[in-house]
Amino acid sequence: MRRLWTVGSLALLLSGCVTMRPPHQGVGQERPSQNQEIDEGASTQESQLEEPRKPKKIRPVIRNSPRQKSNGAVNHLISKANKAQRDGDFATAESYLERAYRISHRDPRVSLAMAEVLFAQEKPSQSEQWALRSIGLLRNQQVIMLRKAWELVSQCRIEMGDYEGARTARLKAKSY
Amino acid sequence: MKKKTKILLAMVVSVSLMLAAGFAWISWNVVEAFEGKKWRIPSLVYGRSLELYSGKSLSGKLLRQELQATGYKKVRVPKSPGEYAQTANKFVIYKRSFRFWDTTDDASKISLTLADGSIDRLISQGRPADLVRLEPVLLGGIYPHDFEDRKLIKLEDVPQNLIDALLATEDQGFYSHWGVSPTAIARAIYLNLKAQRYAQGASTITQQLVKNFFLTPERSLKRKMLEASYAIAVEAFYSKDEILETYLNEVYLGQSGSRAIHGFGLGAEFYFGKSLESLSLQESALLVAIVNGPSIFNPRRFPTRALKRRNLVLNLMLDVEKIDKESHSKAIKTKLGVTSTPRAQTLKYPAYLDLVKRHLARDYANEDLQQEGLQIFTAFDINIQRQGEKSIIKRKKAWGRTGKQLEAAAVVASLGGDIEAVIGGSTPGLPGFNRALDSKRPIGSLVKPAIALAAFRAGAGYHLTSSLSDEKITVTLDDGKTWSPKNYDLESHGDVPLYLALAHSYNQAFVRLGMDIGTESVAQTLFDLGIDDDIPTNPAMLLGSFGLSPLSVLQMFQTLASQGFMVKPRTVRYVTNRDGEIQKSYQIQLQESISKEYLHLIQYALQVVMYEGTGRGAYAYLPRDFSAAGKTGTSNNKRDSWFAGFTGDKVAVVWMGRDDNKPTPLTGSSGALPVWSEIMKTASLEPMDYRQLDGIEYLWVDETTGERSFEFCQEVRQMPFHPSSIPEAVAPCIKSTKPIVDWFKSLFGG
Repeated sequence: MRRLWTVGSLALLLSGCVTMRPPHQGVGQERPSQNQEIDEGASTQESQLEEPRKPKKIRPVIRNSPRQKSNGAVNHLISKANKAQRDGDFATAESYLERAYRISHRDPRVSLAMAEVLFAQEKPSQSEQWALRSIGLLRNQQVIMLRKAWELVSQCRIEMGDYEGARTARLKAKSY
Repeated sequence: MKKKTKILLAMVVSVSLMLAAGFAWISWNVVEAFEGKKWRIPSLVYGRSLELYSGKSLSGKLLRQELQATGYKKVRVPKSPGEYAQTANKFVIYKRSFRFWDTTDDASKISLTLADGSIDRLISQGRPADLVRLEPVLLGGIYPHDFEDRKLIKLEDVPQNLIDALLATEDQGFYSHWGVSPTAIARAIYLNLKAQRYAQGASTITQQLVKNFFLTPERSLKRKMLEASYAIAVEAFYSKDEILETYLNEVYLGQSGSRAIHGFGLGAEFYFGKSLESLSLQESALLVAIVNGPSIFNPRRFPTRALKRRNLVLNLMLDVEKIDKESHSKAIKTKLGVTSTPRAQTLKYPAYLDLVKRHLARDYANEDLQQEGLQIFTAFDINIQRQGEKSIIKRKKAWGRTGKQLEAAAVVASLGGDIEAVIGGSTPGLPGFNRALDSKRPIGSLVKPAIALAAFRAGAGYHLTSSLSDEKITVTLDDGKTWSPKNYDLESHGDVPLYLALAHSYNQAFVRLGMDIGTESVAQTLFDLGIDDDIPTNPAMLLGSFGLSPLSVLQMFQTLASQGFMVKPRTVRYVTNRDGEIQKSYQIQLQESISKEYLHLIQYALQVVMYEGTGRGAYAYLPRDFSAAGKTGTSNNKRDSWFAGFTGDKVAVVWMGRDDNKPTPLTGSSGALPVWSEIMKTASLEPMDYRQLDGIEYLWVDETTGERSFEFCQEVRQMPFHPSSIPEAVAPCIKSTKPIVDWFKSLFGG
């Protein structure tokens, strides 16, 4: 009976701890407002001018879900760029990808496609940078693209005479 | 042969030779000037083109502003290019044809529906479309010193009505004379003698052209003789159609400020806001009427006079049977139909144009830009620019008398690296000192993210929750003197986790951190972030005592916002020649610079600045769930107020202060931050998208101490850590029993 009382009390204590916090939506959920810290520039005039309402304290949100799929416009431009590249019209392909980049600069497909077009135009240095950028934007699960991007990095490095770097990139590609 | 005959023959030969030499000299002049001068065209600078696609964030207000800026006219039903209609959230736009750097987009009718702040449906030519782009806003031109502007046209594109009106009015015998018209001269002499004053001229179109090209407006017999000689030479070397086409491009048609409007191509746009091809009979007649005296027949200033002259042109057309009675009587009843304000303006955005010219300076001489008729496609965004200017004016006003002495500068760019707006001072449109590029002012606490980043990179075990002492610090300088920096609130805050010291901009904690890792490593980090300027390595640099321009600060924050790649911000994307071919393309140049894992940590901390620290005032303007990251900066005695930060799609820097470097009442929070927030409210359509990164650990830590904790404990948060440096100490889970007691009380109705 005594043990049960202890377990019950502990459970209550823990549940108390949990329920004191607002509903959980990941990491960045809102918290009850706390005392606002003094701003480095806080002044009477400032508070009258700028803070008609005090915002509640909130936290940065760290999302874990994959990024949303890219939109139709980007797909459209990538496909036009691919066609132009197949036709050997690299300048036009680059122009389409540049537009796609402006629409969605975080889309790793755009960076990788740009790297390929630049490589085809014998610009290995910038091609390598774009390929590395695409790698930085890809998640570990996107193995096909990661492999492709590292292979391209390897080719770029060979073109630039960096054989050791090329070998490292090749090994990276193989690891996927 | 008799002596007399010989002398006569010699004289004839001499005179003939002299005449031939004179004609050759004139001809050489004509050919050189005709080939060279007739094609002197200023370069046009365009802003970015608005890309429309399903899902694009866009409000009706922004689209309307964009359409107005590109000269679209709102109508009930769009029937011709350049018109649009809006019904609730549906827009129907009759796009104009436009020659971009890659393709020419034909005129077409599109419709789009907006829902929940974005484009829901996009239809082009009756079919669903993936992507449509509007023609860009004309930002301005780069003009020669005489500010002559023109839009070149080809003779085959000129409406017949216009040619008929011109020839009927200015030179009925154009296709039959050889440069001068003896009958016209005889008639003019007769009429002038009769009137005993200068009543009528006899200049042919060719003479008018050579007068503009080679001669002064002076009215003397000598000048008239020269004019006639030149006209004959022109006729000898060029066909009638070539002369007419040159005239149509050369003729002066009006003035817009310092800009001189030349040629019917630009004239049509200037007076009617439409292309030459789409001019009606009466509009063509009015343009021809203006030729006689652009100032006295200015239809905007003297509409009655201009109407009378236009009708005279229509009468002349009827007289020479170029139009029938019906067309004549219909046209003569119409109003002038000129637009109220000229569409194209100059020097409205001088700070941006200044940066464009500087970017182009390495590839183009100034003369080329002024004369080669280039089309320069930039990333300029008129909506963002206007919002920035508006916000600065508003802030200055809010500060009353103090505000009058304040100056400001701002730069806004996309996270992709395109500079979209540049504000060089607090008076929009005023050319002169471009503070955004040339004013180097102490950056104050804007340096702190670089110190934190340098600490992570130093391999000294620093992480976001490393405990920093914010107690008083005294640094001994090289000259033996001591320096004791203070916090803004003059208080010390004990031990503080690094991320909170950054959020609240604690000077003592950050000077201590900077001295520990070394000022050289901070300077190196600034360099790796893209700062080209020389950075001093004295201890005061840890409080941002050195000056940077807003553009340099933008570069720094562009890299802070990135995934580890430095992008040199650009303005110009493409330059095409007058034939529309790409002459130069300026692609985004990437350079891998700083580990994306370390940047990920800084990006977290800079969000805390916005939510809990000195940047929190931004949420008086931005929606509370709109994630952003940034940092305030205030220099000694509040001489400079800075804010720099980024969202999911934009990065912006704002500076406010006085040109005479005197103190202001502004801090970064109270001066630059509200302007930054208002700009972002309009400019940014995407909140910061902060996602978990492979290679980073996300641990629960105690908010106050930064020690390891658990999800179910009190006052904890999850934060990112580099695996090489994670907190080790564990914080107690329950810090206060008060919540538990309160909970029990609530159970029993206490």
